[in-house]
Amino acid sequence: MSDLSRLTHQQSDWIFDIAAAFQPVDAARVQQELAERHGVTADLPQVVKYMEWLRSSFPRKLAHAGPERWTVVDLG
Amino acid sequence: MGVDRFDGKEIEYLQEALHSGRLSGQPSGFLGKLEKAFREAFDVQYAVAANSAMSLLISSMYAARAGAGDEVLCDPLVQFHAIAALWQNAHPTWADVREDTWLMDPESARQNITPQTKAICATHLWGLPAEVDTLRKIADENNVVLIEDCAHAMFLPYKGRFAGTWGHIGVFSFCSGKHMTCGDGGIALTNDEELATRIRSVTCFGESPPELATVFRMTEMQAAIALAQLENVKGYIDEYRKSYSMLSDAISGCDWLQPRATRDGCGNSPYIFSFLFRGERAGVELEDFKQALFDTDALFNIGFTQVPAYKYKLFKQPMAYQSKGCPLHNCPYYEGRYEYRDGLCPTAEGLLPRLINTNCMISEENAKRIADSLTAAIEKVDGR
Repeated sequence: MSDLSRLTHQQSDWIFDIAAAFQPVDAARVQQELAERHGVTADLPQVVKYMEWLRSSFPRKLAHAGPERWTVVDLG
Repeated sequence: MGVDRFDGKEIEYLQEALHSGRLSGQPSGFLGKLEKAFREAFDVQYAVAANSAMSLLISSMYAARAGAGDEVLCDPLVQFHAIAALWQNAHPTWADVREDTWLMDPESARQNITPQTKAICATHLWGLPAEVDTLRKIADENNVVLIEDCAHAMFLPYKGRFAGTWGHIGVFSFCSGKHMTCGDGGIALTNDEELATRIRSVTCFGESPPELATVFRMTEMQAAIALAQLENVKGYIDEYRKSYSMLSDAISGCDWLQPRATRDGCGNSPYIFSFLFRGERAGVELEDFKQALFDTDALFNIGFTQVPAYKYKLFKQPMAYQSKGCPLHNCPYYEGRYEYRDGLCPTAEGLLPRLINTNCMISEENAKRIADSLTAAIEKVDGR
């Protein structure tokens, strides 16, 4: 079951793809798209936490785009 | 990022600003009071406030006469200075950092100065001071301007003075999450009248500027809040030092986490608590530690920007000005040769993926919670 309770490559890729499509994106939009596209059930704080951890990812990472918004950086 | 605190005279000063009936920054109002308070607190002759530290970095590049064909020597761990240089059509170059403090290495700065260099930008990254005494000497020897990025360095002691007063210009940030805040804003300090005049001339104009300028003016509301914050910020920083100490204790017994080095005579204005992953010392994998940290309720960041600034597409590809190549890739005024290639700053490249950060502008109660989380993650990985 996908609920963002663990860091996984699959969930991370889902969020990167959503963020890339809607950037600069907020967590509520990512939550909505995750639910509609992949059936992910996660509350907003969990989505925010996961997105914050994706700032620690490579070669794709999320970066802050001002308060409460994120963009994707592709360092590959 | 810390939580903004407004437990002083912010409301009182805001009401006074509103009742004054003039909300654009006034030399006779809170803007003037804020600049005077900074001049006195830091014992400098000139202070210029603006709507953001980024605006002041851009203005400082102008003050340093960095423009088309010129170079600005930047810190590879952050991108702000290089972006500010681009706004003045100058060409960012980079000096490497030290492997134990992660701050600009003066020797690398010396080696990377060219006849085109107009400014050096050194960051007091995450609240520890760069070696700005040595960097100032190098800057003076080469007739370039040293700009101290003090966004993380409020009242940061360094060899008997505060950071921000060693360089030709010191730029402080008041954006949300900084030691003191007014939402957005910043102030530039200098003892050089010409630099102060040039910064002020491009940050604010009325009808017809003598040269290209814009409006980076701070409002009275921003200045009112910032003045109230300034009255309390030293107390906040003292609290954050206790939190920093608790987090330091949490990694002190772990031989595969390397604390950040400090030099004699250097203080600390804690902003981010940072340490280095050295899993190779104990056969620990970074991914395992990352998951262990994720499983706690504390937030950590691993790798910061992951790679140095010069590896980002903004600099590597001709996209700063609508993909026309200016000013990095085809500037007719640029006589130097500089390639944004791997290996420019090998120490920064080696450090960045292994840096682990967490916020330390927090209460002691929250610091204990994060320290406990850190300890739990270490024990989880050690006991795997």
